Amino acid sequence: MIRLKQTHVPLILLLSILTFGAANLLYGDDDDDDNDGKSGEHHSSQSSSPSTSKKVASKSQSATDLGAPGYTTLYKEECTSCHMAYHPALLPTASWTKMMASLKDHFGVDATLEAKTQSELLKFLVSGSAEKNRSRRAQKLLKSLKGNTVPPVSYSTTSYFKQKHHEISTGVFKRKGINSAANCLACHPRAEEGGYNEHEVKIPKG
Amino acid sequence: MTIKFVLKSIGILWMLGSPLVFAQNVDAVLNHYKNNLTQNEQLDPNATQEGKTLYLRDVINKKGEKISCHTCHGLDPKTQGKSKAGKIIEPLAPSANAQRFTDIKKVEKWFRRNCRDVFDRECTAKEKVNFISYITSVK
Ligand code: HEC
Repeated sequence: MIRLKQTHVPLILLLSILTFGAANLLYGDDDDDDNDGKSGEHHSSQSSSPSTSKKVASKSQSATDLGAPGYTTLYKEECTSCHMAYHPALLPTASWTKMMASLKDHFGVDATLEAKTQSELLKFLVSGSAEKNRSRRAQKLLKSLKGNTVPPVSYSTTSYFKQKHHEISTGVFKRKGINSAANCLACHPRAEEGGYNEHEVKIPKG
Repeated sequence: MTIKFVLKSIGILWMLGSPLVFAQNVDAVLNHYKNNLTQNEQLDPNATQEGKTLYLRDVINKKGEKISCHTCHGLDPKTQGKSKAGKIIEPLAPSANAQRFTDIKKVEKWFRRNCRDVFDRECTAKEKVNFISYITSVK
């Protein structure tokens, strides 16, 4: 008995590590895999329970974090007078390029800049755009945009965003403490540093 | 080549020189606009009152929205306002926020944008004098 047990100790250990590890990969995964359908196609009929058949890509939850972007002083000065600091990985290069070329009507507001400032800001945005970001979140956004001929100018109008927020009614976005779907920071406290994990979400009641 | 260089330099100097006086306080900013009235403009004798009217004037802009300077800056310039995106805007009145109207470049940028948003045109130097006269009079 004793001899048998001794030889089995490393085996049992190994087995338990393997099972635990697998379970961790399957169930300890981030919300990002909850609705891993072809984005935008049939998300309304999808249940929110994690599907077990899908492939497991990530090793840790932080793989969904966009990571701190290191905002430049210029970015903070020019962009955050009116709104939160949007992470450059929230949109692809084509979107930033389009947005920075149409600042005369920037979501209904004149946000025109001097040419030099404008091109420096675009450089910063492009250097950290979704294409340059290794996180699963950014990669999934890009996947969901495949086939789009017109680059989106706002994250909250993408099918990816809508899929991730399918359980949030429009009324919630209009709450005083939120203002609109463009105010990520109202519910995602680490939005500016690229943290959009579902477990950290706090939705203002009013 | 030298001609090109000279022309370029003149262009750059002109661009730098005309809107930029290195003003660092409210009076210098105000004087900058007073000194830049167009030929047929004259200073308003009751600039402060005119400025208040400008600040409070409601208009329907080209997008059909009711908008005014106080939409974002608040009815009382001593209080905080709110941008369209819902972000707090610190008070416009220097009596509540000492940084206001001290950086001509910044002041120019926002006059350009905000006047276009509200009035669909840029404000005149006279209007800017009136506006600053009112905002700085709010104690
Ligand atoms: C859509 C919102 C909005 C409207 C409408 C608006 N402003 Fe502003 N304004 C801002 C924001 C945002 C800032 C910069 C915020 C900051 O510096 O804290 C600003 C800043 C300014 C500044 C810069 C002052 C300084 O020295 O820092 C001036 C001048 C100004 N506004 C004038 C006006 C005038 C004149 C009007 C009306 C014609 C107006 N604003 C209407 C949003 C607005």
